[in-house]
Amino acid sequence: MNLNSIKFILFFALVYLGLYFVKDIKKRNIILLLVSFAFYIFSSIKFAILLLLFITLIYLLSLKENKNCLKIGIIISVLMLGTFKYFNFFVDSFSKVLGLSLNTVKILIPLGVSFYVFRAISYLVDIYRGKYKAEKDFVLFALYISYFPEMISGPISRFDYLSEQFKENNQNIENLLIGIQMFVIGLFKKVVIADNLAVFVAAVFDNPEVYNSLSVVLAVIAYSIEIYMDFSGYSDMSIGVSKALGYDIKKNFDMPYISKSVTEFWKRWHISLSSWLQEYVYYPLGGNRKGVFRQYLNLFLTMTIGGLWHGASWTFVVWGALQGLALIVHKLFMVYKKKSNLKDMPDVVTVMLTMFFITLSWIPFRASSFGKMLIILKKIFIWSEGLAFYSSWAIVMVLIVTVTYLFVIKQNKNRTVHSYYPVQNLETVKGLFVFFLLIASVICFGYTGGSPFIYAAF
Amino acid sequence: MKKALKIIKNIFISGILVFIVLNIFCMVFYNLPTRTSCDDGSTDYKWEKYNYFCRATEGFGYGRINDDGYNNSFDLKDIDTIDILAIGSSHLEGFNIPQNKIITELLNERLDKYTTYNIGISEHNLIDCLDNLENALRKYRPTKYVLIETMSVSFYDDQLTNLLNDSRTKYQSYDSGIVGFAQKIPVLRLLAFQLNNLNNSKKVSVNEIVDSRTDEEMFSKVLSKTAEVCREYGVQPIIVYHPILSVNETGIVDNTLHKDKELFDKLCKENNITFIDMTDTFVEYYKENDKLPHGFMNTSIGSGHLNELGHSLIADEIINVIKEMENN
Repeated sequence: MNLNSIKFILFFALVYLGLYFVKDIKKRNIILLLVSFAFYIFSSIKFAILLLLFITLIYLLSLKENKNCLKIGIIISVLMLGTFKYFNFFVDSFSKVLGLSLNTVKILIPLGVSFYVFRAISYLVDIYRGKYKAEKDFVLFALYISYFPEMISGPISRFDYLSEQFKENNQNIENLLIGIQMFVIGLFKKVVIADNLAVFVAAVFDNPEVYNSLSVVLAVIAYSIEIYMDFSGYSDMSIGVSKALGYDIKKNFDMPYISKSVTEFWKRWHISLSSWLQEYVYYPLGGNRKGVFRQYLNLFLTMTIGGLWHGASWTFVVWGALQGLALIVHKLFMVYKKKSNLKDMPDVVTVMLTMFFITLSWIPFRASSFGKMLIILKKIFIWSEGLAFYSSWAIVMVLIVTVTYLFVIKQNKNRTVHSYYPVQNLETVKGLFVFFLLIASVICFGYTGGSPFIYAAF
Repeated sequence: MKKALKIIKNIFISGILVFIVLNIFCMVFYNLPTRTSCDDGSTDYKWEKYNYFCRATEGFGYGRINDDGYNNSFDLKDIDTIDILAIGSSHLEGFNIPQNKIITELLNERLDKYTTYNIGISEHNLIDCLDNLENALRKYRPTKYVLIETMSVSFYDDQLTNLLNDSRTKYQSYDSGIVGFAQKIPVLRLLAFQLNNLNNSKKVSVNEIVDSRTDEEMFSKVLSKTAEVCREYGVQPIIVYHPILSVNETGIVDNTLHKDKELFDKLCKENNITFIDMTDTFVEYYKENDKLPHGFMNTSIGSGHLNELGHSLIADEIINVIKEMENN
């Protein structure tokens, strides 16, 4: 059940009404846990049982607060993710390298496994580091792992933050009105912008050889908009649903395309994942504590692992590695700039250069194979004829995004820009007008052909 | 209590404002004519006369419905005879492109010795058109040709059975009651369009239909009956088939079940029905010009309705075939 479905909206309405009359925190959490599992069961009963077993195992291991048990928990989590998501990938890769013909196995990937395993790992590592004690309340822990708004595509909240949210009852009309608006904003980004762009992007990326260079260039730029709108839209929906229930989830995107460097980009894009990778991969590898060379190697490895997390394919590994390389290059450049006393480049230039790199780096992320990726790159840099497809949706969105960003850059010279939700006062005509217009736009202009969330595949 | 009433008042005012703004926008974005019943049975329904239409959801089409309820740039009352009657689906109807670029308008421009009249209507596939054919011929009495447009040469057994038994369920005009009134409001039409798309996205894909195998015996009866009706009214039937061609790394792909196309061609020949297969023309044009006859920049290239190029290629092919027939 996707968050952008009528089924979910009805489901949530029932959940909200049900919870509204339950004031006792413990009872609320039990109901929320049952609801989260009901949500999961819509996807698969088998995997819901697996989730329950996984939660129980991690819970029991964490209670020991014994370093070996915590390590076992982490290993089990990694193995679970590795088996379901990467088994066939590794079998296939090793087969090709060693010249063997090993058979892959038909494995279905449990919904949200990448996200809930990461939540479990962060929980175990935090206990291991002594950040907090193991949670004795099974319901609270299980709710943290299985919390339904975050199940499909995150954000990856931390236990100490989310569990504090669950200990309070802030379900009220004010939060409902704010939450609904956040949800609708996310829905608009997803079904109106992202899904309509996806038709064009899919057509070109699936068969780049048939299209002319300009169509391919437009599709690549359109994809950078699509993935942002799709993923941030989903995050907004998740955050909105949580807000309506009275829980504040941290934002997951902070206007990433306004970044003046790749380093800044990774502080603004998929914030929950990048901070998770920093804390649970980069720091354990040594971070910047073991010399410059080791720091750069750790950055490269962390981002490459981050790339692999996105999908069991070498194109994702390449994407992650590119991000790692870019971060290293940026760090080297900053060192050089400081030594040479170079002046700062204009914001417009740094933003454009960062966007140029990020947009190009989305190619391996989206391309279904290396072959397609190379064809796309060739078409971008060497003009070639072919079918012309200049999607009007893509052109309009590129223009809107360009104008908006130029405006934001100009208005915020020398200031750090942050995103915010333009929630309206729904007691005024103006506020209601904007809100109703947004809802009507979703209904009237949303793509109805159906497209799953990009990050749900992870 | 006062506050609640104030909020309700504000909801009402803002709702009305949004409704007005969306309707103004839909006048350009999605403003189809209103359906009305077709008493003579030429089509299952037609459009309310003199309605202006404008549509930007797929391509960009605009025009005005004529006095007879179809997409022609002239009124029926302004012509003496119809030489070529064109019957077909939404592809022939042409709401996705400017009115002056549709097949029949191009035929009137390029083959100006004949008057071509368009009664193409959305949803009507070949089976529906053949079912209504006799009524259409009776009403319009074309003097030369009846052109029947189709994008499919494969049909299910139940479609053919219903046609032969005269038990086909006709499309409704929805021109009465609340639905009839709601039809006149552009934003409600758009909403219905969206719901329809949502519903259809869950139904069988085009490929599944194409994978069916047409029953030769039943289809032979259908075409035989068609030929007989045309003979009775003294017109030469021409069936124009325009496959939707897609492209992939191997090149252009025709998803037609070829055996059904061969059967179609064979049965047309046996019944003296002119069969125009646009496949080769479309493929050659694509190879030389990298352009496809279906699809638009605001949806997808190579799928959906005929675009301006498609209409133009079909019109030219029809002209060539007619000239060839008349020279022989």
